Formats: sequence, C-alpha cells, structure tokens
Amino acid sequence: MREGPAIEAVGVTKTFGGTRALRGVDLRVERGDFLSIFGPNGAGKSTLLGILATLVRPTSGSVRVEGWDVREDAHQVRGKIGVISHQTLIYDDLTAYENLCFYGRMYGLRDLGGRVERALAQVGLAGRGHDRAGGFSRGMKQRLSIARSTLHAPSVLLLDEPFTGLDPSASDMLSGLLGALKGEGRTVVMITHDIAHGLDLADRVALLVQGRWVYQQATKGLDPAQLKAIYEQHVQAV
Amino acid sequence: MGFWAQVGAILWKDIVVELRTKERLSSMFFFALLVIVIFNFVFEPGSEAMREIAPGILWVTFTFAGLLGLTRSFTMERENGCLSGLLLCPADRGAIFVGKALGNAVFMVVVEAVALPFFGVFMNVAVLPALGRLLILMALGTVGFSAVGTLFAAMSANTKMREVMLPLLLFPILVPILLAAVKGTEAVLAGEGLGGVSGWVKIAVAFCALFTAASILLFDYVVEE
Amino acid sequence: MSTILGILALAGMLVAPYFALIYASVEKEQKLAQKIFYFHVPSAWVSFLGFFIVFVASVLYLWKKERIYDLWASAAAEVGVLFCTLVLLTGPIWAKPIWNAWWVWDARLTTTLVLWLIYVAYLMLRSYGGDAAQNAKFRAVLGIVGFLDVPLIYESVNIWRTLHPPQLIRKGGLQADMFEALMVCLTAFTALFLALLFQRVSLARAEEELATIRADLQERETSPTP
Repeated sequence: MREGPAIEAVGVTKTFGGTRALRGVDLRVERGDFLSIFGPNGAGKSTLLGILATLVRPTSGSVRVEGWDVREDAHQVRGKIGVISHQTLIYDDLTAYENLCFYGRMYGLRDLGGRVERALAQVGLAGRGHDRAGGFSRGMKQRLSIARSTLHAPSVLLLDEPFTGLDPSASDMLSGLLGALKGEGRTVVMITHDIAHGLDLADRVALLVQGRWVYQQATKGLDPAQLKAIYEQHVQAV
Repeated sequence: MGFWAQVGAILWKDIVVELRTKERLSSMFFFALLVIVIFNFVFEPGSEAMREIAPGILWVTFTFAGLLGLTRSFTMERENGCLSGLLLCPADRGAIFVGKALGNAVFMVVVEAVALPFFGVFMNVAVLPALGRLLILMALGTVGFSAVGTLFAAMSANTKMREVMLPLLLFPILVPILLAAVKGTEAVLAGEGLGGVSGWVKIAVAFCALFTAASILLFDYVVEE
Repeated sequence: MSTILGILALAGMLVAPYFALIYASVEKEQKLAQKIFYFHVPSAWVSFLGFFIVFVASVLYLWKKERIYDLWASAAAEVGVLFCTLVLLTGPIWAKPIWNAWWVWDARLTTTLVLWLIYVAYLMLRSYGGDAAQNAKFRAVLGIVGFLDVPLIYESVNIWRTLHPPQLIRKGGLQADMFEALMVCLTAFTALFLALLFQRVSLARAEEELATIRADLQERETSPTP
C-alpha cells in the first residue's frame, strides 16, 4: 500500500469545447474519510468524479488516487476504485448472479462463485440472485450496483447521486450499506443532493459551484438546516 | 491470460443476452430473408440476369443484416451506462474490442449459415458443391466486416446522428473486402477452385489482417473521453 | 506564407492554361478533348496529397492531442474533397467525347470515387457530430483508416477491372512537350492547393480564437468575483 492520502488532486481543470467545467480544483481526501460534495446542476461535480474514476481526462492538473496517477497508471487506479452512478451499469437481461460473475471475470477475481454469493448476501439480495436484473425495483438495482462496485474490494468508492429515485425505505437501506462500507475503512467520495443523508454519513462536506470550491468544512457541529442555508447563500450569489 | 479471459467474458455476456432476448438474431435473420425475397421481385426469377447478380445479392444480404447487428452491439452498452462499466474495469481496451468484434462476427456467421440455404432455394443456386470454398470466403468477409464495423459502430453510437452515420462511414471503407467476397463467390459458384480466386483471397486476408490490427489500436481513442 | 502561396498560385493558374492549351501539341487520336488531361491528372494528384495530409495530421492529433492537428486534418479534407470532385467532374467530360459514355469504370476513376465517398463521410461526421474533442478523435480515426484502405481499394478495383477487357487502351509514353505541360500544370495545381489549404487553416484558427474569446467573455459576465 502506498503512502499518502487516498485522493490528491491539484489544479484540476477541464474544458469541453467552449465550456469550462472545472476551473482549478484542489482536493485532498485522507484514507477512510467520507466526503460529501454538494452543488447545483452544471457545477462540474460529475466531471470531477469522472476524472477521479479515470473516465474523463483532465485538461490540466495532477490527480493521484491511492498514490497512482489517473493518467499514467489508470490501470492500477481502476483496480482500486468502485464507482456507483445514477445509472446502474447493470445488464438488464442477465440475472443478478450473472452480472456479478461477469464483472468478477473482468476484474480477474478468483473464487467467483463464493464471492458473488457473499456480495449478494451483503446487500440483501441473497434470494434474488437468479432473477433477471431488469425486473428489480430501483432500490434493488441500486443495491446490486453496490454489490457490483464492491466485488473487487476497492479501497476507494466514488458515488454519483446514489440516492436519486429511491423511496425513503430504500434510501435508509442504502444509507445503512454506505455506513457499513465506511466502517470497513474505505474512502468514500459522494456527490449528492440529499442534504440529510449526505451530512449524516460524511466526515467532511464541500460545495462546488461553477467549477470551483466555494465552501469546505468538517461536518462536526453542522446540521442540515445550517448546511441548507449555506448552500442557498452560495448558489444565490451567482 | 487476463486478456483472453476478458475477451471470453465479454463474448459470453453478449451471447447470453442474445439467447435471452433473441433481438439481434431474429431481426438480422428476418431482414436477410426480406432482402432475398425483394430481389426476387426486382429481377425475373431464373433469368440470366438473376444468376449473374446472385453472388451480389448474397453479400448485400449479409452486409445489411450485419449492419443491424453492429448497431445493436453498442446500443445495448448505452443502456444503463454499461459501456462506462466496461471502461472502469482494469481491462485492456483491446480486449473489449476483440470481445465485441468476436460477438458481432459470431452473430453474423449464425445468420449467414441460416440464410445460405434460403438463398440456394429462392435463387435456385447450387450451393453445396462449392460449400467449403464458400464458407472460407464467408469467414473472411465476416471477419473483415466485423473488424472495421465494430470500430465504426462504437464511433457512430456516440455521434448525434447515431446509427444513421454507420453505413455512410462503413461502406466505402468496405469496398475491397466486398469486391473480394462477391467476385470470389461468383467464381466459386461457377466451379472455380480456391487457387483460381487466389487474388481475391489475398486481398481479403490483407484487409482482415490490416484492419484487425488497426482497429485494436484505434479503439482506445474511440472509447476514451 | 499564405501570401507567397497565393501569388504563386495566381501566377501558376495564369500560366497553366497556356501550357495546356497552346504549348502542348494536340494529341492525334483524342484531339482537343485530350487537353482536359492537364487538369484532370493534377487534380487527382493534389487530392491524393490532401488525403495524405489528413492521414498524417490525424496520426499527429491522436498522438499529441493538440487541436491544431485536427484543424489541419479538417482543412486538408475539405480542400482534398474539392479537388477530388474536380477529378470526378472532368472524368466524364473527358470520357463522353472519346468513348461516348459519361462514366467508365476504370480502376483509377473508380478508386477516386470511393475515396470521394470516404472523405465526404469525413466531412459529414464533422457537420453532424459537432466540434467536440471526442468527435475530433473519431475523425482522426476515419482519416487514418480511410488512407490505410487506399492501396487495398486500388488493388481490388484493379483486379476487378482486368477481368473485363478494358474499353480503352492508354497510350504509353508522353511526348516531351506534353510532359512539360503536365509538369507545369501539376506545379500550378499544387500551389493552388497549398494556398487554399493554408488559407483554410488560418480561417479555422481565427474561428477557434473567436470561440475562446467568446467563452472568456461569458465567464467574466457570470462570475462577479475573480
């Protein structure tokens, strides 16, 4: 295991054609920390996450995840991260079991059968392994997505608005799962609009507006109402 | 061995999904059948003109059916963002390409195998005597088509015009392999041995080799953001 | 650079017709119709040069990822298609009086037609795909694949046409004065091609700069604090 913070980004910019999505963003997340990122639509949150996930190339700046550079050593980074987005990344026509086996093989994992069974049990889908994934409810799909993204035991989790479209009971279940993952010592970066859950799980929160940080704070002593007020203040100012 | 394990995983996935839904195979096969039937309406059945263009019809059938399969190959990855899922794996992009291209080739071969007897019956062409040589030409044509087709399908799935761009981009590039396949088929159906069409076979092999290599290298650039 | 090329091109295009029409002797069999050869062949050569530049620029773009290479590739494709169209237009004009057919499927003309289709598709990709960086990568890939295909296209079309007896027999060898005229026209067309190419690239760079300035202005308007 390499030394240093789990995530370290310096001076990250990203320009798409004429649009500047990120304008000089620094980020440092220590191992085992949980960071919640808030911000209005178009702020550049998904772009930032995409860069951390090696899916998007930064226009400039350096980004290291678990000590590996996302551009030079993308291969290494990919083995260490798990990504959950608002899309499920699941094949609807395969069963839950088959989906996980597929990803397991793509990650080169051994003892696949056992691993998949355990992963399904962990997210509460033990009995539904051989059902077609397309027939799952939104909440169940999200749980399967978590199983998919944690199958290879990544040390860093990147989540892009995982609470979107979930009803309260599914949300609470997701919250419980994320809490458990955090308890296992994984580093988590989560983009969310859900202030209550975002604050509850996180060690630190940050607010991204128009490609720049406008607020960063440890969550100790912050309550949802305060955060909402801060959010409105910064977003109004634009 | 990681590379081939990943190729195998992708190929397996595409086959299982297809076996469940049968979307690709059924639409490809039905389309192939339609093309053969329509050409029979256009030309007088049994006429000399018909016999002359029969090899052309066979390959028009295969290419249009193949095109359907190609587009589906990447639209299925667009649903639920699965292409991102593939790119997140610590997998060689070349493995993703080979897996996808093999899948496309397999589906095309299945459709060709089923369409060939129908072709023989409707067009009244004696396919059996030339079967071995025909299969070789079909294999070469399919591999060449899949190699460039998979690369371009990945590209066109990402443009505004989507699937409409694919035939526009693909067909001019396919001219050498199409010529080789059609002319080779024509000669072989007329009784020529493979030696007699060695010129065409060489072109087909060169096309397959060149574009398999080029596509594996270029696929990386097509899928990364 | 553009200016020098522009002057050379102008001089060349003024001189070329003289050489083609007056200096070169009249060909025995095809008479005056043959003269179009002096515009048909240089156009073909120059369009091929254009597509070669697209290939090189595309490789450089994928390798270095700098926008300027994409601008060169797009410009070369445009000018290349222009001259390629000229080849396809002069071909029939030449063919009709000689062989009484608007189009002859000979190896070279057919290859040119296929090339034209490939590079028109390239231009369509640019129109319908937008200018985003990802689309630029697609174009680069097409530019590379298209050019790699050229020898195979030529060879396959060649074999195809030698199966059927050729309708025309090309006379081997050119008289000295015809050769000289051809060389003059070739130089003139190359100068014209390069002049157009450089102009087109300048235009593209100006457009890029304008877009950047617009983006900067927009940003300044929307963020009050620096």
